[in-house]
Amino acid sequence: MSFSLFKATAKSNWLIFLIFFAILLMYMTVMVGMYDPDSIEAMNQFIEAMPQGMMEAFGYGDTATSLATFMALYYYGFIIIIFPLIYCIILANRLVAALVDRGSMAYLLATPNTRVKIITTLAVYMAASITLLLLINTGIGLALSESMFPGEMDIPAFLKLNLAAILLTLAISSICFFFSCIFHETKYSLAFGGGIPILFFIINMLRNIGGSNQWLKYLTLYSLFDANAIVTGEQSIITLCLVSAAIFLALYGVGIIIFSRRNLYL
Amino acid sequence: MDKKERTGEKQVIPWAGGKYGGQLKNNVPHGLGKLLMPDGTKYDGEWIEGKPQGRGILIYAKGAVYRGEFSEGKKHGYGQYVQPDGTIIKGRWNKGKFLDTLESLQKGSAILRNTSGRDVIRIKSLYFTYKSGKGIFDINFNVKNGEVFGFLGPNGAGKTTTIRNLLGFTKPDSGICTINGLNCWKNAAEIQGELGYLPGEMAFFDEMSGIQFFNLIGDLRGKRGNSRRDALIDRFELDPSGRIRRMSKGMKQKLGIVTAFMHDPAVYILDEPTSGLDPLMQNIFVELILEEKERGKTILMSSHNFEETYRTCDRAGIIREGRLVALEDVHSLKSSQRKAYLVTLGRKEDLEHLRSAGLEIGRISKNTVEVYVSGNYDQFISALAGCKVLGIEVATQSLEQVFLKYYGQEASF
Repeated sequence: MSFSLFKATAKSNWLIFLIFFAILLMYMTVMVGMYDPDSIEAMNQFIEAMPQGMMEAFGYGDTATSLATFMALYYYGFIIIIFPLIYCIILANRLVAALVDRGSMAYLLATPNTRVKIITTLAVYMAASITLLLLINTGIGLALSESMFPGEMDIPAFLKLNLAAILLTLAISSICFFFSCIFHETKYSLAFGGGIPILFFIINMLRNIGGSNQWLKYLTLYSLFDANAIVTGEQSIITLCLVSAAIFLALYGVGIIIFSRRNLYL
Repeated sequence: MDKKERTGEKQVIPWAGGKYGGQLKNNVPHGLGKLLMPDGTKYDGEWIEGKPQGRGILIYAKGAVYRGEFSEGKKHGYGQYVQPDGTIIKGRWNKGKFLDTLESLQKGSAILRNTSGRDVIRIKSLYFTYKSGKGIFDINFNVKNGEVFGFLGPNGAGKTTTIRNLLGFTKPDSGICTINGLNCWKNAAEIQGELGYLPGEMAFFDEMSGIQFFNLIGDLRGKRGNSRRDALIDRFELDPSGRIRRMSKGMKQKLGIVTAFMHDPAVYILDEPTSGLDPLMQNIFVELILEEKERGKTILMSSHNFEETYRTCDRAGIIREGRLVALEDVHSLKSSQRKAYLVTLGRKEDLEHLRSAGLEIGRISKNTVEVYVSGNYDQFISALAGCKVLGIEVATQSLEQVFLKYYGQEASF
């Protein structure tokens, strides 16, 4: 872990962080603002009036009864999956594969630092920036709901939901990072590191439609994350946390090891 | 340090708790001067901005003496340290610490090992093949301490592939390469501390400014000594304040050169260092290489430019299609190189005269004759003395032509 490289990496990537922060902030504000305890029934009716298959695909299949379930359905069902996913894909590609593809990694490796140290620093930045992004998001969600609807939010359930979201996103990021480490060209890094998580996402959408597609849940990580069930307490987050943490540690670890041992055509 | 500073008036001032006598700049020791500390420690030598920097002698209170190079007040570079009991430690120093413990010998027990004959870079039966089947095959050569080695060959011959193995970016299929005795693949990070590398491809961190890039690399190296860096920036007329993305090709190359040289390493590996530089900057670069050679640095530079190699290198290796086809003293390379001169003659009979003088004649157009000379300049000049010569021009030769002569006709590119 090199602090100076960490600092420089943060400097080079703060704008992307800011953009995704702004997107999440905007949606969070809109979503919390849309919650109205009195007209929640109207919202639910609206959802029911829409073609059912389509709403289910986006995870809006259930109806909300409280602020926590409202957020779980309309924010944590879709937005908190898709935008952090895009952030992971872009960041992972920029941090490693792009440097190797362009050749600027040569300058980092031509310093008295081992490859493990360099790549670990980039991995730490990746995981830290995702965690920070989602932690800030949690804080803003709490602050907004407390200021607009004091006492309405089921805080422990909301925190549990966010913890699950953070660990899941870290697991997804490890897939992006792993493929960024093992390929020499960004096109392959993007194809696999971006393609696999997006495939997970699409499979999850198909699964949400219901019917006989339930076997699909074994093909996507996102089936572990049922936001509504987590908030209502129907689903424990322990499995999700353990599986996500295991994937996170394994893929970052193997990515770092492969990167430090492979040939780099710099 | 320029001459004006060296000749500045000598003054005596209190400095760092002791007494300083010598040249000043902005009331700070700068130039040549001596410092005497109350405990008896003495330094006599070069100063920059208040700190011993350059060559000097440090006499410790207890009688030990260090004679050699300093940087930022510490023993750094080449130097010899003699302890009061007579033990001599000679060799390279880094920030006050001795780097190579092999050379600690008792005075009188043996003549100090002559470091000048030591192989700093060693490449032994090195093989590396790409999936395409291209690569390098059985490369063997060594670069001695203090030697400048030119690595020549056309594009795609395997120069960069060899360098990738030296830098530890790729693992050889077989064979060994070492720098300062350390394995290039296993000890890559350790080697980098005393290595200056200039990549063949210009790829930086585009969103950074030049200064930010220097600072990052300086921090990653753990030394940010800015005096040498700034001197190099001035020398190459580089403006590092702007974003790298906006820099021209030449500017980027200068940025790479400063990055490779700014930490004053003992070994340089430079991949086509003058590409993108204008002729003036190429000259400045050649001067820098000659200076570093003078200071005992070991340099491996790849090039496809013969002239540049002549001016800087002691020996050269020529690589073609992944194999080392020649390993020669640069002067013998030069004498074996065939040069073409375009001689414009005034009289018709002069052509016959040149022919009968046994010179190799190439194309003839009107009154201009192409004459090939390879080392036989005396013969050429005396033949010309009997002619009416209106003009002589050196015909520009492509690298291929040079190689053709060198390998004979069988070589084809």
